[in-house]
Parts: sequence; C-alpha cells; structure tokens
Amino acid sequence: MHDARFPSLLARAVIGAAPKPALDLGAAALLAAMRRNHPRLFSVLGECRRTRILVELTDPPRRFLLEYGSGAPTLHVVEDEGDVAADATLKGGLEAMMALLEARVDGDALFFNRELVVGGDTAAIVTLRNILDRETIDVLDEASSLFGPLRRMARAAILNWERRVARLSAALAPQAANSAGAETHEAEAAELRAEIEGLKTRLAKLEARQRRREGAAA
Amino acid sequence: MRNINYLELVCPAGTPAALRTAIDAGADTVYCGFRDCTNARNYPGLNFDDQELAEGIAYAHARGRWVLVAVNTFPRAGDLGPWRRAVDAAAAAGADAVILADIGLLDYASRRHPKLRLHLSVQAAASNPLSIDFYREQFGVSRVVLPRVLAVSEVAALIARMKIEAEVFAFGSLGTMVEGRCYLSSYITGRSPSSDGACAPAEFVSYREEGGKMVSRLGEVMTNCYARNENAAYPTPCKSRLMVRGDASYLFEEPVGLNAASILAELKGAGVTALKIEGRQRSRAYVGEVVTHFRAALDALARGEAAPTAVSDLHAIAEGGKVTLSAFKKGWR
Repeated sequence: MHDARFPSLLARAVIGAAPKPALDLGAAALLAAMRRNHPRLFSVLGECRRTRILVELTDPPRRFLLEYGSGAPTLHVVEDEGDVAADATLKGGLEAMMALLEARVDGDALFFNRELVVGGDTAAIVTLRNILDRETIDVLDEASSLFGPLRRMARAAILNWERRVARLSAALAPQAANSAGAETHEAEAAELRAEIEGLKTRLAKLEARQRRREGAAA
Repeated sequence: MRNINYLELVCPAGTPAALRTAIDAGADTVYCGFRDCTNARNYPGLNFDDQELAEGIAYAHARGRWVLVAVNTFPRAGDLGPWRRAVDAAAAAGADAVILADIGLLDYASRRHPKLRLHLSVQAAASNPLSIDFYREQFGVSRVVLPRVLAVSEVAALIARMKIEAEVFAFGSLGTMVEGRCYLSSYITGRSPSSDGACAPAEFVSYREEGGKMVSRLGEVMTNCYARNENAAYPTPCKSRLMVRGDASYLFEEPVGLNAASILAELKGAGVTALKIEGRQRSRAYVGEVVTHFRAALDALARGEAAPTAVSDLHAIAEGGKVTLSAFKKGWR
C-alpha cells in the first residue's frame, strides 16, 4: 500500500499484545536512537512551543501521547480510554502512520482519502508534518541501531520474523473464514504469540549483551 | 546550457529535502521561497533560510538544473524590508531567477540586480499582451506565469502576441479567484495569501467529528461537512460548500486538482515554454510522485511516443482526490 520496508505485521502484533511498560520502554529506546541519528530534528522539535499530540492507532487500537517542545520529546502509551489533555489528535492505521513518519506518503493525500483524521490544533499537526518531512527516517534502521555493532543481525532477525508472521497470517486467512478450522486457527495463533514472545526475549538479550560490551569498552 | 526535453518541468520544494527529491526525480527547475511573509506558501515548518537556499542551489547547479526563488507576495505599506531582503538574499545565493508579482519590487530588483533574471508570478495576474509587454519593457521580465483562467486556445493566442516565455500550471491546486487579488481568507482570518503568504492559515483551521460527519471550520466559519467516506479537501474559502436556499453546493469551485497531463502536446503546440507543478506546501512524497510521472511523460513525448497513461492517473494525490483540466478546456461554454 505505501511501498513499505517497515515490518508492519510484526509491529502490529507487538504493539497490540505488549503491555504498557514494555511499549513505553520500547518507545523511549526508539526516541533515543532517533535523537542520536537525527540531532537536527530534535533540535528543531526542542525549539517548538510545548506540544502534546495524541496519536490514535486504529489497527491495533492503541493510543500514544507524543510530547515535545520542553526538554527531550517523549512518547507514552495512553491506556485510559477517556479524554486526554492534548493539543491535537492524529488518528489512522499503523502502516499509514509509519509511512508518514518515513515520508513515504503524502500526508495531505492521506487526509483527502480519509485515511488520516486530524483534530484540535491543526497548526501543530501541520508544523510537525513539515518538520518530519525534512528528515530521512527509516524506523527499521532506527530500531536496529539500538543494537550497535549487532544492528545488521538485529535487522535481519526482525525481517525474518516479519516474513514468518506474514506466512502464518497468509496460512491463517482462509481458515479464519472456516469455523471448522477454528481449533487449528487458535493453535497457530498461540504458536505465533509464542514466537513473538521469543523474538522479544531474543532482542532483549541482544540489547543487554550490547550494553555490557559498551560498559566494558567504557 | 541546460538540456530541456520537450517542455521545461518546474517543480515545487517546500523543504531542502523536497528540493533534492525534485531534482533526483527529474525536475529541470525547482522553485522555493524563504521562511517568511515574502512567499505565497508561508506555512509553519516550511521553506528555506539563506544557508539552506545556498545549499539547495549548489545541489541543483551541480546537476545542471535551475532554482527559482518566489518572492511573490505584495509588500505591506511602510514595510518593504522583508521583500527587499528576500530579493537581495536570492541574488546573493545564486538563484537563477526570482519570481515576483509586485510592480515596485520588480522595479527594485531590476535596478538593484540588473543581471538577475525576473519571472512574473501568477500572482500578478497578467493575462493580456499589453500587460505582459509592459512588464517586459519596463523591468526586463523574461517569463510570465499565466493565470489559471485561460483555455489552451487563449494561451496560444496570447503567446503569439508576446515576446517572452510562457509558463503554465500543469498539476496541483487551483485558485478560482483573480490571482493575487483574493482576500476571502483575509476577510475571515485577517491574513491573506497576497500579503501574508497563507490562505486559510493552519492556526485558524479546525476539524471535528459532529454527528458522524467531519466538519471543517476556518475561524468561526464552517467551510464544509463531509460524510463518512467522502473525500476531504483544503478548508479554503473559495472551495467551501455553501448553503444556498437550503441546498449545499460548491458555488465557486469544487475541491479538485488540476492535471494537464493529457494535453501536454497541445500546450507544446501552443508555444508554452515551461510547465509548473503546484504544491510547495505538500510533502516530498507528493513531489517525488508527481515529478516522476511528468518526467516520464515529457521524455516519452520528446521521443515521439505517447505519454504513459499513469500520469493521467494521479487523482489519488490531488486535492479532493479528483482531477480536472479546469479552464484549459472550458467545458461550461
């Protein structure tokens, strides 16, 4: 749809299943990586007035609060389903959001086609869109960079898992429409969840190993 | 000497990244503006500072392309400073031309920078030979960007009687009002595209879900109300859906984008020198997609082949998700 390299199936599964503390940690790590790789972007965001943007994903349905303009930008999961104090709201699918972040798609076209819904302070949304459009961001690269010298291994692992999730999804799709295959469906879904948990554990170990190496080098 | 294939392709850049994207996608020329009220796309987070412009020009010149700087708003009374500074900065950065609309600023640029090429902005709304001759004779203007109100036959008749290059819009948003004279946005918000460089400034725009529909407002004025799966549009006053005698309709212009891809040969035959893609406020993804398609079409026409049909199929990225030939083919006549 948006010419993506981004592992959207895997990301959708992780974002949909992971608890808030894990996602908050992941978001903080991703922002830290982006800060290292895009110092100009974070400098410009730091010069903005304090802004809170509620990002509402529709698939999976999760909400994040992005804050910038006073100190380092932060990104947190919002679990409360009630109103959130935010200057603006951005609502859309995960794939569209990632394509927008990576400047692979035109935000106005997404808005025209109603794939993206904006609310609140429109100027804040327009400003953020234009600031991001100046940068070349690749979320997969940013995530892989968390692993330092092991980034290529991590990237390969992520893409490998994305392919496996895609194969499983394709295999499950016809069975989902067939109630007779419900048990098989559930078993394979459980296998998928287990494999995702395994991936998370493996990545955490890689990250810990890298931290130890950095500590030893220091 | 540049190698122009068929028609010069003049493309928008709201950011340095968009400039590089346009050049890499095949633009012959890129136009951009400073981050202030002197250019007609003065939106938050967009545009260039002096250093970014100099770097962009270096990138383009290294690849044999041109960069034009739009200083195409009208100076405010008693506040000429930003406009003079913009012209001087564009000349200092090595711009290949400045795009101007105001008669006083044209005079300033022609006297202060006699070697700087001048293009007459569409904001000047020059659409007859007398007017265009005046700009050429008085200020040495080399090119006029024609208003989006002329049929192809009228473009041809005009070009036959003028002695400078003609540039026409080929893709992007349409302005239905007299170019450079629209104050509808100013009437509602106090800011206009003509002096502040922003039509429907974002800080006055809001979108809300109301009763299952999306309602857009500019200031306190409702500009549209969209059903759940209906394509949305910019909240500009000229494309508002207005209630008249109980019926909601687009009185001035529907939210639709121009796409002249299907009449490129006719425009070439009419004597047009350059095609302009509108959209400095759009993303670099838009720039890349539109420029790539038009580049392929122009190259095909230069080889004597038909333009690829894909270039006529850019409606998904056009305003409102629809395209038109607008005044080029005055179907309402």
